[in-house]
Amino acid sequence: MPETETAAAAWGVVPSALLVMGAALGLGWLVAAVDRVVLTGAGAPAVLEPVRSSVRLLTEQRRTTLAPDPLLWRLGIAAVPVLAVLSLAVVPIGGRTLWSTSVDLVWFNAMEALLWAAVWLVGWGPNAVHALTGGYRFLAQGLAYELPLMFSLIAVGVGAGSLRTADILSAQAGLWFVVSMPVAFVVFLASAAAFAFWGPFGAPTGADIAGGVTSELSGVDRLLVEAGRAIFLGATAAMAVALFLGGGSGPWLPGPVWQLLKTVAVVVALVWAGRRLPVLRPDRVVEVAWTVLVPVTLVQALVVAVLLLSGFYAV
Amino acid sequence: MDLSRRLRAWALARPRVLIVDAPGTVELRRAVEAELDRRGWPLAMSPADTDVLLVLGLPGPELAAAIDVLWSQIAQPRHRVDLRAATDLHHRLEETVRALGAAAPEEHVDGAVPARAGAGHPAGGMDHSGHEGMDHSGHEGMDHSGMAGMDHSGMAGMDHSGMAGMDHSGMAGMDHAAMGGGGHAGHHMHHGGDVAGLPMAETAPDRDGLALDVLRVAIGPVLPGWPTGLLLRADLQGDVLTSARLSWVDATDDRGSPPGKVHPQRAALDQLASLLLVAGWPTAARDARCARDGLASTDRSELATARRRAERVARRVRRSRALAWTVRGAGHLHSSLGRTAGGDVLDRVRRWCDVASGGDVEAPASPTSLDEVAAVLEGTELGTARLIVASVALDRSAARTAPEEARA
Repeated sequence: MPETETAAAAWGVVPSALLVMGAALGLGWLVAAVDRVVLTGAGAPAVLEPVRSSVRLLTEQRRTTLAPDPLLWRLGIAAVPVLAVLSLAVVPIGGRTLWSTSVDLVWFNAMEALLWAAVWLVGWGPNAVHALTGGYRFLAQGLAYELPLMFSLIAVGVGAGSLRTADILSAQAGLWFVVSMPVAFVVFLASAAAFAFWGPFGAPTGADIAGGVTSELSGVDRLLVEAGRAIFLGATAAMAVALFLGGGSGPWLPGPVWQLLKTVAVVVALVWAGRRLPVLRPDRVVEVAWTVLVPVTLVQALVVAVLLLSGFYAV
Repeated sequence: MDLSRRLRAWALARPRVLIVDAPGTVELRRAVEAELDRRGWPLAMSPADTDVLLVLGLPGPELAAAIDVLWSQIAQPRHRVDLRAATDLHHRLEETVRALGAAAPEEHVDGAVPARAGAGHPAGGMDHSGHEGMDHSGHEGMDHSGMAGMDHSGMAGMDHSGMAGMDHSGMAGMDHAAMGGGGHAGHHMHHGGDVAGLPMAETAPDRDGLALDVLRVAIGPVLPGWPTGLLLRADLQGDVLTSARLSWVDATDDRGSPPGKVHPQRAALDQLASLLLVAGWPTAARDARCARDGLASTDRSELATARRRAERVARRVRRSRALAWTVRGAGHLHSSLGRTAGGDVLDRVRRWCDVASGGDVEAPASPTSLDEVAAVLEGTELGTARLIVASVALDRSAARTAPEEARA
């Protein structure tokens, strides 16, 4: 299998890290802008709104609550965007990932699993009922999406015979994985919405609990959490393009352009579809996740394994 | 300097608005919501999320006290607007944006505002000139810390032991959770004592018989998608409510039902809009509001558009499997009023949809008393409880027919 150089090795650590940061901000803005357009129905001018909100939040006063747990609260708040950017480190940008381990998929999943702790702390920290309830809901939701998400990642790993993103990209040279793994693709995107606690999986920040985990956040704290959510959703869309849609492969146009176009398409489709649904209650989602999604994703992994043995994948 | 001022003004040109509607301001609230939707100003979810506090009509004394607490929890820059009529709405909102953007940087109190500070008793007689609205000079930050130290027992909600014997226990609970999200008393930590004047949470058997922390909470009287003035007191274990009680603040204030005829279709759309907001479906909620506002028009073609829009949103909500799946089975009301008020949340949602689409059906009847609603909240999750409350048309007069014992 051809070894692809990482971005850090090819372009230097600092420029590549800056590239990833830039990509993170770009993806976060993209998600927030599309979300805003769909939510308000305001059309093109709404794309500036995320920038406006960010400036507004930067000038806003930070607040605290009575008897909070400041250390853990702020730690959780800071962890949300940091984890989002770190998860982007193994997503190929322009065909290269910032760094590469032999277990890129596990890294990606680990960042998202650490988010459990971060969001819980954001909910627990302010010593307030609605925030705490939001934290509980996120944990319940985590129970629902985590296993199906892992099984869908395993299907990809099995199909490529590697957990390295670069190998997964080259394994799709012939046929995109979405063709043989449609279930894994859909589950992966739904899980993205779930761990960004957005759209139909937005119960942890539901309007019925006054914004849940974000209900006590103002100023830069709110900005960090909101940005982290948007970046996570964007990073997952970019990852979905790499894992299922062949990354930068496509005719005529250069790879990075294809990758960008596909990512934008995935984000738009995800936001549009997500906003057509009401919030799904975590307790009911857990039920479906365990009785339907876990078996279905297991069957998906099995199908991929059988296809692999029959020589379907050019590995 | 000029650049930073203009940047600020630009950033605050679409502020987030928290609406507090006093009783009897239904039409005013609808007009305001229509204008906010038109401008693309988002509705705030909590005080932390708020830039502009919009008070409609004349709140009674208890609601006014709750509004003061809310105001104390809103981070700078902020602005309060008191609206009595929709006549100069456009002008007032323009003025609001100017005032928000023009606030000088030194008016931002650096550092954090103790958000729960407002939990001090309004009965303490503290009068904040800042609450009058227009100028927010720096003193608020100081007020807060002062108040925070002043009266911790006022944190109420949780403070069962302290509050039980106090006259205004009603007030205190409300304050503390003016936005319904009161602080809770921390977790069970195997030692007694209290933290910042708050007692530690107790444990009690939950519905499965396991020992779990109990938090005394007060939800309301101001929340998005919640009937303003309604106060839910309950014990919370995890997110399960027990011993729920409902009451109105300013219960003697009976301006609830406006005189004159009610447009049933608009009322149904209004009900659906807040229910959809609570159900976490903001796009459908926006469509419902939009249809509701269009139906008030006198223009023939606009009216026809609004009717079509109302039918579309009603059909969409009615047919939504996701919504049905998520709300089914919750909040079975066994009403003495018969079928129109009974059924679960889903039955009522569908009935509201029928009315909203202009069908010739009777709207779900209001429950006769708050106790009837409170009874079905017993043992539900917080989210379900919110859906149940949002699915019934609560009438302030309901409190009069069945006086709330919590007020005693």
